[in-house]
Amino acid sequence: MPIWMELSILALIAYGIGLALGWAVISRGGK
Amino acid sequence: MIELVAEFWWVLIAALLIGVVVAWLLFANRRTRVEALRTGDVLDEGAAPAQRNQALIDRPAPPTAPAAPVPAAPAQLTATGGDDLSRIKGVGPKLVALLHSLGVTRFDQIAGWTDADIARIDAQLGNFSGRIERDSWVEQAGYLARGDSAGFESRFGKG
Repeated sequence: MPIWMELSILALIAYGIGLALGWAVISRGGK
Repeated sequence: MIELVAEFWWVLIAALLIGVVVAWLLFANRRTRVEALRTGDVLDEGAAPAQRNQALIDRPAPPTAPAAPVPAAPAQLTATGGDDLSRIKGVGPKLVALLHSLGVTRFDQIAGWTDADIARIDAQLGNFSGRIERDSWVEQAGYLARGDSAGFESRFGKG
């Protein structure tokens, strides 16, 4: 697997984690 | 893989931050909307708004609306050839009297109003200002002036 592909998969995963993290923080703060 | 993470950790952190920012933009909107709805409860403000509204209701009518000739005017004018302006949705006895006092007695007059006429009449409607546009008087009067009851009812409902 080329390095850019590995890197983009990792970045995508990190992006997803950030999205979930942001959502969790905001939805808890809104209660 | 580990070396990759070690070497490009800043890319991953950046992606993580972008994710947080996107989540913030997506969900912060929704949260503020819920808060706005929550503050909309009438009971939150206690009895003060109700008293204020009652005071507005009890306030004496503005001088532009003549009080005395109200009941007599519509019948009188309809008897002498004017149209029953209260057939226009949103026009009640007070507005009918007000319109008669402005010389408006027939549907074809209203149907022929230009934007300038609307502005001129609207300025004299006092508390009813804005009703002409809101209730589409010109369009309604157009149907009624043509005697197109079916068209009027299909567009504005029965009555």
